[in-house]
Amino acid sequence: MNNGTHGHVGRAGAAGHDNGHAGHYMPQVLTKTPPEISREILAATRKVTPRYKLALAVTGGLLVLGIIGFAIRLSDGFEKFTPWAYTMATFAFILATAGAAPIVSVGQRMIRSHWRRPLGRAAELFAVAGILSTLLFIPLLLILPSADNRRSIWFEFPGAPHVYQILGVVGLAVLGLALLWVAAIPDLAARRDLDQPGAAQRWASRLSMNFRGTPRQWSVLRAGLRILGALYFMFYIWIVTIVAADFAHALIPGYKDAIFPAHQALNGLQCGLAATLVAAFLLKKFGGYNDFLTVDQFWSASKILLALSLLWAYFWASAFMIYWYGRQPQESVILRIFYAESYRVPFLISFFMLFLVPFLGLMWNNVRKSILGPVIVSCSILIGSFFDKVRVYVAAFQQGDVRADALHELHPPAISEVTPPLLPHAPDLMIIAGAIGGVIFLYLLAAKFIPPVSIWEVSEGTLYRKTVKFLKRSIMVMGKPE
Amino acid sequence: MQDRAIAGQNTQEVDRKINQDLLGNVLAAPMRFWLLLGFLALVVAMAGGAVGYMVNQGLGVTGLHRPVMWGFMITNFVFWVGISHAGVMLSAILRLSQAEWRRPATRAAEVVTVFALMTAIMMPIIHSGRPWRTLYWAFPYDFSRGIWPNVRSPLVWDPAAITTYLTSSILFVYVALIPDLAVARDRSTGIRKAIYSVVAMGWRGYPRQWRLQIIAGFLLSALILPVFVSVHSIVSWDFAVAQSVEGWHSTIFAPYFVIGAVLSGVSAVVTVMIILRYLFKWHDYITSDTIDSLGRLLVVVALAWFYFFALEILFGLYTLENSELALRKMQMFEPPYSYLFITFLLTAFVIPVPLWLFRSVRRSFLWMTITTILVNIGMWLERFLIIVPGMARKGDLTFNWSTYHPSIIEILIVIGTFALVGMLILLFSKVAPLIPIYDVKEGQILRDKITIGKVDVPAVKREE
Amino acid sequence: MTTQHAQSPKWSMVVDADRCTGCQACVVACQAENNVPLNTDDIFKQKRAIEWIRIERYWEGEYPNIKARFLPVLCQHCENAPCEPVCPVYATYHNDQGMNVQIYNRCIGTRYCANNCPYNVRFFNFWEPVWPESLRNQLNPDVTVRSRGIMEKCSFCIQRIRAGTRRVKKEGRALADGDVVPACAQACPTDALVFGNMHDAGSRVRKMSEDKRHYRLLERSGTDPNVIYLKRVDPTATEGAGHE
Repeated sequence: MNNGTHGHVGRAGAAGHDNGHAGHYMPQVLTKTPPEISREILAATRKVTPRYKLALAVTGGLLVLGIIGFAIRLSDGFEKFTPWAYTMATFAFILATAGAAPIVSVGQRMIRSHWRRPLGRAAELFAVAGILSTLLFIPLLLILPSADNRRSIWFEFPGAPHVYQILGVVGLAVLGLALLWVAAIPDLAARRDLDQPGAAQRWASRLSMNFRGTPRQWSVLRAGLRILGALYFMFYIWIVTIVAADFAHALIPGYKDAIFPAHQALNGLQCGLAATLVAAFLLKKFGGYNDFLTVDQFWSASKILLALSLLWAYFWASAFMIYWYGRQPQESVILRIFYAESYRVPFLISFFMLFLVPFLGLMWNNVRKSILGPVIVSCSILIGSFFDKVRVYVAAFQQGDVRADALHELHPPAISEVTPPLLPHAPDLMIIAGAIGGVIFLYLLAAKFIPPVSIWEVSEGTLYRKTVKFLKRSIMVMGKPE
Repeated sequence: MQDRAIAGQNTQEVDRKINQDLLGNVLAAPMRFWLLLGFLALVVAMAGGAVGYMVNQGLGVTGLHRPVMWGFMITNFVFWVGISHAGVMLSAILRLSQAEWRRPATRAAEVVTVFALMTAIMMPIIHSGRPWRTLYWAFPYDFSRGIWPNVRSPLVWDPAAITTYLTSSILFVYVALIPDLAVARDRSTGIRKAIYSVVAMGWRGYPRQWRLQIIAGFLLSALILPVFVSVHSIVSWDFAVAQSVEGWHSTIFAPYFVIGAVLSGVSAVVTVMIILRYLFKWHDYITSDTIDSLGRLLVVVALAWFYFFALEILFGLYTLENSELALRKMQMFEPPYSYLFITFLLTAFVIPVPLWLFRSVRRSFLWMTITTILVNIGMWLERFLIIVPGMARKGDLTFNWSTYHPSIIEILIVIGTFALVGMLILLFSKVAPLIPIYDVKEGQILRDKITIGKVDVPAVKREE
Repeated sequence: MTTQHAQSPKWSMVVDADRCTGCQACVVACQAENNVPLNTDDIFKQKRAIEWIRIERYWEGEYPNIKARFLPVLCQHCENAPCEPVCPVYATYHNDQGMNVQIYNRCIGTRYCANNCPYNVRFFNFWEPVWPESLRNQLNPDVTVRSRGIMEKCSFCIQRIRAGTRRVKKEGRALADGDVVPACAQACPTDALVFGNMHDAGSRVRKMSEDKRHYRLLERSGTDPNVIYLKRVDPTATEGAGHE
């Protein structure tokens, strides 16, 4: 509980009392002026350290490895589900982390919180992974049979599911890049104006769309961000829902779990925030943005992370409870596959890392109010989520062929056998490493072009606060626009 | 953020005005207050008569039969439990997130919670076959023979969750009420002063008292949140664990019910606040800004609710089982359910949500009253459409399929609960201020503004 | 039943749908045996008739080639009974003889069990039961008269089971097939209802339950009933009658 430090000052009638809680806390106030902020962030963005080059080389190598693994997998063809099980899990994992990360920025911008200002860009930069996930999605799309004469959420809707899946995945990637670009326009303009002439400066100049900071340009920019943000959010929920429904739910005969897509979407939000925090930590430690990313960001974000982790457990419990209580034959088989027998180990890992670690860690204010605490929990969430995707998608892909599921049967087929778990092969491991390495590789590249800490949002934040003397003590006044 | 500062030259004057405005009804209620109270009492008395008749004659006087064993009263139970979610949603979450606009809204929300919950509890009790024996329901009644309530039954989880929630909500209201009770104590005389003195627990506004009150408020806010989620989840499990009723056995019920409860609860709070604003002339306290913020919150909640609603329908139909199809056909296409379904969809989502997107609607008291009442009509129907058609189209034994018509007794009871909640809120407003006096004063003190260029941005003093 | 002396019996019933003519004799017999309140016209119209065993009538085919199908439905005494866990006061539980039993005194009438019964065989006393003066002496003294506000359902004529067990014990022998016959099975003119001990390898129910026609009602719901149905022998029939 963070109550002690969160209390209000000077209740009416208690004027002048000294708030004597332990740990009275004043956040590190950014005292830099906007020109200083621009200069320092741009300097950090331009700087290429040997460590950066090493990271680029390692992740690039992983990406190449992944491409090789992918090529090996291609030889299995698109007839059967099972060989692509781990590719699917990887895709779902990328979608959950990199796909959801921009929502951290979108959501917080919507509720106009101040602490998100330095964090938003680190989240939005994950949009570059959209390129990779789109490529990864191609074989998955090819193995997915049409919705005709088969139980799915589409009910033989024309074009479904392929058209909508493509629209979703490609749309999300495009929207993400658009969001990243629009949000970065003022910063690109800063690069254009402040950089030495060169390739990067030329590109920044081209992409900054002649942004000069006129009131009209600002209002257009803000409106654009609002619309793109809302669209991205809705697209994300949509694509996670249909991917979960088509690539997991519909493949398991007799599986009926309405909360499942929502649970996947929620897990995405959890992972998006976790990925953002890990990225922010690395930027702070190694990227030279130490002054901008303070404990404030981690502290505020970890409250949300805790809430999302609790929600994850809640969603899980509401699904598990119904199956456990129902005791119908197909329900017990699914429980045995997902939780008790086949995929017990991935389940236990994911439950531990997605719920227990965040809950037991972040429930303490001094863990939340640190840098390392939230970051360790975030790593745990990312690992847990990967195992969660393995549990769900590999289990589903293993159930084999649903193409023959006839709609006219009186009772739909129900799963009756508990299958042994499917373990990854070498190409699967290469694809997993390649995809994750690839996301980091793209992120690293993008972070050298677009400042990973938003110059304009941080500068704007300095305008919205002032320090005043109140009673006997100086406190901060935060402005809330609108 | 409020439109304008409460008029007044200095802090003391503002204080006095706030006391006057908000304590006005407690100390001297206007005539229209008594008229309204009398009318509501009449309706409650009528419903009380209906309950008495039902207990005396047996449940035969309702429209229930086999297989529709639960009807209007259980719908009403779920509805009121749903309304009760407003209090925590607004008070606890907004308090923890330090949203400034919550200040005038919290008390009304918490009080709605408490009274809605009390009303809800009555429903399953009067609805049972032998209400006089329902004490056994939740309490072990026969130690010597070792007979205990069946903890596997959701009907045992229900009283546990609801009484916990009720207790903590009452505590929540009370802790926030103490400073205001002290204000009332200092301004009343005679026996009332004596009573206020006792319930104000010696509040003098010492720093230590404030500190304890703040800590208690925050602790309760944080602790009440899991209770808040669990209550409606458990209510939803009354239905979701029942695998035999068509359409009930769905994994999404818990979050779906909770988000629906938040939607109807927040709407109810808006309705109640606007009515109180007119009744007590609280134009300075409940402003367009307050309902604007609540309106934005409602848009988000309504969209989330719609997502869960769509998933529920989509994955219900997904298996294409005959019994499921029969249920959905009845729910959506067979009159009178089809009319109810269309009304529900229009009132709960299609009409209000697009309207709320307009700033002018969100800031209009008339429009917000209309839309929030519509939402609650829709949400009541939603519960009805979830609960009843499932039982009427239960399973594959089509021989037993049926339908349901409520009797006049059940209708009276349902109407009575609305009057009861209204009456209890009005009675409360006679006893204690429905807008937290100290909270509003605090908001006044913490108000500030920041000037950026030529624009003044409203701001708030923050410790962090 | 010679080697399984210690084992308690597992009561079971076989319903031969092929033999059922829909005559409703079982319904009447049950009514008389178990003090079931009278089902007047009014009560029927209210859909509150209490029939511990009922004949469900389904129509098959199109006029004029229409056929009536009869299916006697009674409490299935499920091994995995959905009604049991939901009762908050343990008014319904499973006994050691494979039966699902109802304790009237404990019931408070939440009707949750009725909701969660997929077979709709649990009945609620919406009204206080009344019998005309002339029928007062007809009431079975071995069976409780249930007051309003509580649930009731088929008990497999538990009073007859108890009486039969006592008699057998007095005679100093083991239970044999036919020692216990519930009222419905006794009244059935076509012998469509057969009752007995499933643990007794020689019993009729045991043999009939192994018939290739056997099925259980709503088998997919996993309730594992103790009532076994035998399919109607009808070359033109497309589905079991329970799967309308």
